[in-house]
Amino acid sequence: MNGSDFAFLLPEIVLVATAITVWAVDFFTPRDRKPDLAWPAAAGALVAMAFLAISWGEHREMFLGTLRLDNFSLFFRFLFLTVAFFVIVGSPGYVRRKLRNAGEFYGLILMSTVGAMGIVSSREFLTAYISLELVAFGFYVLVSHARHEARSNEAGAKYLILGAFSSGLLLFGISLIFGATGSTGYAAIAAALETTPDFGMVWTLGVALVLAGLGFKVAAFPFHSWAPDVYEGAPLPITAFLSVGSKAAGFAFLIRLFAEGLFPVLDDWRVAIGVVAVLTMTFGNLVAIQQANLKRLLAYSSIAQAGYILVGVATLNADTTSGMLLHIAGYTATNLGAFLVVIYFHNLTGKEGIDDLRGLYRRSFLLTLVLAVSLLSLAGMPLFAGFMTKFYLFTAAAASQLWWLIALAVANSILSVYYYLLVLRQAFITPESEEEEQRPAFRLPSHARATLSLLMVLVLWIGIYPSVFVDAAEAGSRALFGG
Amino acid sequence: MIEAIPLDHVVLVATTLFGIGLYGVLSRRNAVAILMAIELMLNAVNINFIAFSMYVSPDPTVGQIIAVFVITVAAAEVALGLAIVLQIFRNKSNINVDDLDLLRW
Amino acid sequence: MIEHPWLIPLAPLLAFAINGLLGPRYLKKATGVIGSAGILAAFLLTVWLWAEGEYGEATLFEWLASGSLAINIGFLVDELTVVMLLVVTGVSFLVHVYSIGYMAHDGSFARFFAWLPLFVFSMVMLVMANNFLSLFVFWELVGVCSYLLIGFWHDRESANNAAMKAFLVNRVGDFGFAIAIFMIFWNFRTLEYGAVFAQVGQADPETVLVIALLLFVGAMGKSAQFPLHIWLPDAMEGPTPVSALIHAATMVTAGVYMVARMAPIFEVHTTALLVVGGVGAFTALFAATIAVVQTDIKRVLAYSTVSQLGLMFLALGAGVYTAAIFHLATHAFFKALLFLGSGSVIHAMHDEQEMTRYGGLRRKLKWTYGTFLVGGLALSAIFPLAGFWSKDEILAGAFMRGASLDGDGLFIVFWALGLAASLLTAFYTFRMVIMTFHGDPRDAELHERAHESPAVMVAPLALLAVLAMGAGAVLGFPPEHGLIHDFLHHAPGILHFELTGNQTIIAISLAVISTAVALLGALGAYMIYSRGAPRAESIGQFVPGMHSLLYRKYHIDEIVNYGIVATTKVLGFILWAIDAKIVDGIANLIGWTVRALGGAARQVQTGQVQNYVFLMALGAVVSVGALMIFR
Repeated sequence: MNGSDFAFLLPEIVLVATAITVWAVDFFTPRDRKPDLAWPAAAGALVAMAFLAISWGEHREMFLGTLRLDNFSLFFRFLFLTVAFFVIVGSPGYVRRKLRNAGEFYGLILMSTVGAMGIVSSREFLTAYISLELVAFGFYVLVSHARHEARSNEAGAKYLILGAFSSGLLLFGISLIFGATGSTGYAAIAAALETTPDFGMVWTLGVALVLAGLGFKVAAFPFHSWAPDVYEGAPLPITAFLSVGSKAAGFAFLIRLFAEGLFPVLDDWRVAIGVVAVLTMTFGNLVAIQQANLKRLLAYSSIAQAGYILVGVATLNADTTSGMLLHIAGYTATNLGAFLVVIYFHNLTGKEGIDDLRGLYRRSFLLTLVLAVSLLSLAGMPLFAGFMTKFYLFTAAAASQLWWLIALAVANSILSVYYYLLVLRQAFITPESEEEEQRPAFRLPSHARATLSLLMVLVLWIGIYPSVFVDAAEAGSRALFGG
Repeated sequence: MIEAIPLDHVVLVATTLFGIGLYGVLSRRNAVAILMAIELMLNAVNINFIAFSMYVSPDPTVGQIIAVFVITVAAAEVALGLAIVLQIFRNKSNINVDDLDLLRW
Repeated sequence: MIEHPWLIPLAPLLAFAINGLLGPRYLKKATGVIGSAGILAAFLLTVWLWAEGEYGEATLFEWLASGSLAINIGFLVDELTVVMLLVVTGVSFLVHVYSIGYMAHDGSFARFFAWLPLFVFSMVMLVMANNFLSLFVFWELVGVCSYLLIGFWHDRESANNAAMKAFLVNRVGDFGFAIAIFMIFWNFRTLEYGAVFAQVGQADPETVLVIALLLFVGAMGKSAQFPLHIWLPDAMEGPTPVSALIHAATMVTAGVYMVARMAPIFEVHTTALLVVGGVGAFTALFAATIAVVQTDIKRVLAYSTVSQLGLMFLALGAGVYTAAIFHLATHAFFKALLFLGSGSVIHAMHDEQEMTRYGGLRRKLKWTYGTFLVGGLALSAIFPLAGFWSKDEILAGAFMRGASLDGDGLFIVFWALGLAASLLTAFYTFRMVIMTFHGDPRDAELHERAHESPAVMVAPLALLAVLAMGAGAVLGFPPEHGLIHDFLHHAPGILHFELTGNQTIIAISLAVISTAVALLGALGAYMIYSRGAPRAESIGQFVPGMHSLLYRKYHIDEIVNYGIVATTKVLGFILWAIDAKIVDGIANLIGWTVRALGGAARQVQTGQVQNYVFLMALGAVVSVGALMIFR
């Protein structure tokens, strides 16, 4: 270890420092000004992004090989910082209405981001696990942050119990893998697998339990059951953060683990992961159709999205990895857009039911437009990110010749259009009652307009001319697979 | 001395402990008891790590270090869990997980 | 012009952008002129392209440059493209002009004139695509436009449901299309037409067959072939110009265009062509039978469109691609004419679409009547109107395909189905004409208030009528060697159907047969529906000698006609019931099942945290168990 290693962790250090500063300043801030601590926190995320940009293309093993900074981790670290930035910027209105201890809230978002950035760089189980828990602990507090709301409490308790249980599964699995191979480093595990291709039952059980633990993080069926409840109960910005940040971190963990550690035995697991992928997307889409609450609908929809990404894990190779990275990026922008609309809508009306969207078209054109773009993108319509990224991912996956998997994924994608359209129909078409027509148009704060427009442009950009993003995703994929 | 106990036995104990923990998570209704049951599961993990570290790993300290980390993380987890449970108790005067059913379907 | 083919789609795109951004607030009625101007520009540019006569592929820019999936956005301009472009932009322009009048009193005028150019843009891009990804993207986009325009009057519940249904049924077709594209990419490592077509010969024929059939599923959705046709009759909830443009003349022909464009893929395995021809022939007859019993004027036209599209697929299956494209063009003219004419009637009758309340309109709507009659004659394929030339070629092609040595005998059956469909086509067309324009007014009050449409609506009708009259003979004479045949002769991937000397007699007799059949159908309709109006006498005035013939044989004719016609009508009702109850019912059942499954699946989410733990543990145990067993 040498001092200069830390120089490459400057983004993380900046985040931690910002978080501590925000917490400290919080003491001296009058209560009604506290929500505005979002701006310094968001600025911290931007500064961290700037430091990150400096290390583009740098490949570096650090801290005895436990961390590896490469384009793969860079891709995700950049993604997480973007997510943190948008979540924080989208929060103040909501925080003002619903939450106390605003400083704590923003600081914890930054700390969870640091954890997520750790996961994607680690190439060793213990480091990855500790980072994972750093993410999770932040979320346990954030989810139950609306302290006097029974729903928020309940969501926090459920998340913590299920999360702790899933870490139990994950750790037990790690211990068995450690027992079989004698190491927790991915490279050493891969090396051990080269010499001994099969470690028998202990090994199988170990990998299965690790997958179960990670399945929880990405909300894959049947480890998904926390997601709808926690998404619904959590404060809205945290739901947004969970649905993109936490999920992306889980996938980054999975991808690096399989690419660097378990690649030699991947063929044993393809079909199993494929089946989980299909179950996940089918379950998510089927239940989503039944929902009347927007948050819960988006929860099930994000379960379904995890299913699509798992198609890439089941067919893992260099191409599908870039497909997954691209899809995760597109999904992140899209889902953030959708959630920001829900957040702002909730700030203005206090409601979050699908029926409540009636007349949105009249009351705020921008909200309706961003909602439409986001939902059509989630539905995988052309010209929007969701189509392009899914297309890229599925064409890459077709090389595996798991045709049943591709066919079911496409069928699911088509099924999902139905419930997204039902939402859009409320927003655009369903007429308001006489009384409702009297409601005034919305007035969005200018920063809300800016972030919404920015996300919409991103979604369209990825959907129409994704070259830049494809290049970044392929650079990330090359970091793992070479070439 | 320790070498006298075969690895299989230690792993069997750990697995049993893990199963007991799992049973506790499934059967107890009290949120605090569930947290304790999860502790059991994590301790099973620790036993595993230390045993494998002794018998399998080229470097016997690795498993022990991991165990120390896991203990720390588990302690933090329980602290957080208790805080949330306390909050629930304040709001509803009861910590039965059965009653946490506002959020479903 | 060939260096800048992107100018053609640019014009409607600009019109869309201007109308969409500025329309509702600033431009208002001016949007109609801007929209029409944009389409006219596209049409003129296409004519220029055509006049220059230089074709090829132009790459616009690199879309994706990645290693695994490199795609260039480019335009493929060949004869087939040009024909499609002329039809699409030409008919669109007339419909735009017509809409200025038709939509004049609609509150959402500007919105209408934003969506319509967007549709034209998408359709033009679809036709000019040189790779499967662009094709699919714009294929979907025309679907979205169709959705937006069917549900245009969104305060109508039925319009919303129809839009939703259209969209979802089309997605079923798109499912096949998408899988086909993945298979194409995996097998050939490219998505560009040329490169794919160059490789299909060497590929495994079975795989290519699967690809072809999946592509055809996509075509069936868009072009409303049985059983994916269920959305098209409901799509008539949209404004009538939309029905004319999208659901009759252009978008629904995208499937026909696609199969024609993919001819090299379909020709690898004759089974693919057999399936295409069979589905087409069956749909042609099936939909024609249903059209006989409809009383809503737009529904008659909708089922008629389904039927005519079936004939085009019959042509594709028989390998007479030129005939299919030829019929596509003539059909676009006369079907747009009929729809716009029906729109003019509906406009005159204050949004009444039931033919049972029409009658006797020919005196009040002189121009509409005249043009509508021309459209009807063309649709019935009466010599020498447009429909005759193209339809005759299709039927002849199917017959020859069946009769020739290397052909498939089944095509004789398909030919018979197509012939029966022609009979019914003439029948329902004249039933519609007579019920609408002849006899006495059935609703005196409505009739009283009826008025001829403004010139901006009548002028497009007149132009289309000229096309419906002359286009067939101009383009298609002499048969198999007309302008369109020579023109399409050069299009790559398009087979040309050659007749040898002694087949000419067969061809002529086939033409005579199909004309006779069409006349028989028209006559039947006349006998049945103009009862009460001057009958045999009036015919006698036009055709000397006919009077006594008809007069004497009247009873025999009546029996024959009633026997056949009554059977047909009963059959029509049965098929319609099957269509409305069973085919639709299956679609609804699928929807219901999905929702029920969702309802069942959500029971997993009990809200009980320990059930979740149990589910997770069970999941882990099951997956470990499965791995232990199956590895």
